[in-house]
Amino acid sequence: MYPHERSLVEEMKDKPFALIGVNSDSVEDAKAAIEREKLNWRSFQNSPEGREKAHSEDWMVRGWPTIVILDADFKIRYRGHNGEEATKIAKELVAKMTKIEG
Amino acid sequence: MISISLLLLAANPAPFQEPVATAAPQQESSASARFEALKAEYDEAYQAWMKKVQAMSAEAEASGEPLTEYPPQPAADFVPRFAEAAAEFAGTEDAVPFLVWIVQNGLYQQMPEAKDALSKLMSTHIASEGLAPLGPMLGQLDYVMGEGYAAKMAFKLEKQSQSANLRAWATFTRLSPVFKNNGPKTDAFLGAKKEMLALLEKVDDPYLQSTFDSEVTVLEVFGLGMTAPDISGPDLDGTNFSLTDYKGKVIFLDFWGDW
Repeated sequence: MYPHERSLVEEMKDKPFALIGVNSDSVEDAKAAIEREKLNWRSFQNSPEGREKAHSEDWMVRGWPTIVILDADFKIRYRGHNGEEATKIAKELVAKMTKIEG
Repeated sequence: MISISLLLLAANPAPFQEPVATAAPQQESSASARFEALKAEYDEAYQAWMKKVQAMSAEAEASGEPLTEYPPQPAADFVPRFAEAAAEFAGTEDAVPFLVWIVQNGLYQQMPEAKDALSKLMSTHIASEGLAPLGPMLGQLDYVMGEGYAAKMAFKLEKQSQSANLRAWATFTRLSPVFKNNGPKTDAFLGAKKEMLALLEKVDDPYLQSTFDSEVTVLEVFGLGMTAPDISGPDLDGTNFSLTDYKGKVIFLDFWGDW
């Protein structure tokens, strides 16, 4: 999964696209993974200190990884565990947007 | 995700055969006694295995060395014995509990005997009430048996099973893609929900009820076309930000961990 996400971020960097993570590890472990795998996206801490409920609980995440694709209006266009399908849907949405913008 | 794609590579199911009439059980008492005895033996072996794993975990925790290898689960040793009994009663109702046990204990581990047992159940014993325990597994069958298998079986079971609960699970399996592929405010979604609610009034299956509740509840908030809630909080460097900072772009939100 890491290489897939890494190259997706690279490929889409000049497009109206953002890959945002919600990471379930300790900050220390997450940073180690980022360093080791050269990960290139920003992540929320899933259960930061002082927060009662984890973000994943608010989002009713029941299996990891879970991917949610939002369009430019913040509407959900995909939710599931299939990275390839999610990527396809995200790219189609981006392609539609860039077409409209000219 | 990797495991799912690997699972999807699993061999395709054997071609489906028309169900054949099952012979009247002649030795029901001896078959069921044998099943109970074998199952009791397995349950004992499983308990012993659990104790061993717990002891190893406790030891690992005390020593600080992570546990890397578990002792092999006893199911693998028992599958051939259940299969042997199933073969003796082949084609009769007496074979069903043995075959069901094999599916329950070996299918997710991709044991060939379990795939074989499932094919037998679906081709020869489709109407049997004894298949009822497989209801909760129906929705997962594609991962092991190949894409489309669950839908095909659900279609057959819905029409032919004598178990009302299993028919209800089959209906749920048929409707699951409708829930997933349509927004919660669409007619398709609402119609499927109505159908399930009416069904759940009639069958008493708390597990189906809770599975349905949790799946549909999630989709009513996070289904297609719904507006996502915001997320605000610190990133890994401790800097606060919000998901809405990125509104106007396509957002690939990834709940991830380093496993």
